[in-house]
Amino acid sequence: MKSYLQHLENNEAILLMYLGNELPAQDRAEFEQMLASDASLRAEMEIVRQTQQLAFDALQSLDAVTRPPISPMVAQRRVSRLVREWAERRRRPAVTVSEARSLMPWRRISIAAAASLLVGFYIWAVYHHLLDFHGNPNDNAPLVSADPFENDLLPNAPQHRDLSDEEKLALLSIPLGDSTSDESNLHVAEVAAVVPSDAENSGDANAEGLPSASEGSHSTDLNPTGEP
Amino acid sequence: MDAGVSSKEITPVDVSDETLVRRLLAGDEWAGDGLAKRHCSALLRYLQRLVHNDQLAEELHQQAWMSVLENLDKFDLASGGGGFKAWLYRIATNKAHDHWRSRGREKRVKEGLRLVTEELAPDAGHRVEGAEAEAKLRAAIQLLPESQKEILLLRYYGNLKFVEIAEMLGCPLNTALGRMHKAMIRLRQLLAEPAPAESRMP
Repeated sequence: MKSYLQHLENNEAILLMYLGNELPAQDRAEFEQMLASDASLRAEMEIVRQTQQLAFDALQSLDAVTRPPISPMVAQRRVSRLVREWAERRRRPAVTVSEARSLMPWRRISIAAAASLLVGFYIWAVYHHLLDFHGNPNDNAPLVSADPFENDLLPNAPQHRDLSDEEKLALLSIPLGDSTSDESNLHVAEVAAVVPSDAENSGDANAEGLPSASEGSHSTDLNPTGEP
Repeated sequence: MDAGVSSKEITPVDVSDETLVRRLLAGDEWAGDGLAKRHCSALLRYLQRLVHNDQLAEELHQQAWMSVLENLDKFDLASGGGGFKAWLYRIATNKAHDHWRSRGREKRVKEGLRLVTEELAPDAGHRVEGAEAEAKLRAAIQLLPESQKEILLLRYYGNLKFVEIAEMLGCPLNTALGRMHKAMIRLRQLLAEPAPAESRMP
């Protein structure tokens, strides 16, 4: 057993340890011998004992007249609740890294599927967006615009046949505008009524001096009438 | 006694804190209730006297128990360094220190203001409780230096041994005993002085 008497610096320290019953048995017996033979040490011990008792009594008195921050019962219930929550967390099996990885393939598959769908939709959208401007080369349906010059630019556009004078007049009487406007779309039906179908289509479109794609770089943005 | 017996079926006094901790770790939640029942009240009082703020004491009490539970796996059941109670009070004391560190400046200012106002005009709580002796006691304890007061409170409320307190606070045993002795002497002096209210009386 470790001896405190040799290490404690002063009487007060030894007395506090003695009064607290914290001295080892051998030290205690030795110190009691000293007390028996030393009256001043006994008086000193009595002072320390009384002073300590005064301090403890002061704290006890204060506790007797002041309420604790919360009722001890409430405090216990709160701690018990903390214990329940803590125990619940401990019971819940923790997801290990290997388990987490084993769950990953399903996530990966679903993410990959979603990504594929997005990419597919994007490609489809871009493709159709381009077709809206340039036409589908595989589409056999004739594209007929209100702009007769535009039709010349389209690779699969129906070839013009020689128009009669009445047909030319009818064409010229149609107000030509922006092919993208609603108004010009209304005229498509009128033009369709005038321009014969593919089956009837024959002859050179440029025979009557109508401008062809080779004569100029006409586009839908250009004014097909040649007006400024 | 430990094996196969639920803490619910026994009086908590019959078993040591360490046994209750062992059972709690084994999944016996009643053991946790036993620990709470054993230490909640004194720990609350300790924190109340240490920080002089009921709300803060309550908050630190809660934090201390949460910390205890979160670190219960790390608690060394075989260590002889004061056991669970010393560990609990150490965590609570550290929580108070952390709070003071984080709000050191604010605390010092408030502390100064509080001491001045309490000496000159006791607060409403004092008036309600109405005990002059209580105000004097409270003021005397608050006026103790922090290091001395900590040891006195740990000794009284925690009923911890001086060796455990010294180990907890990381100071030599002689230092802990010296501070305790100074705290007692200082408290006796403060209590012997006339109350501030009396000194202002004509």
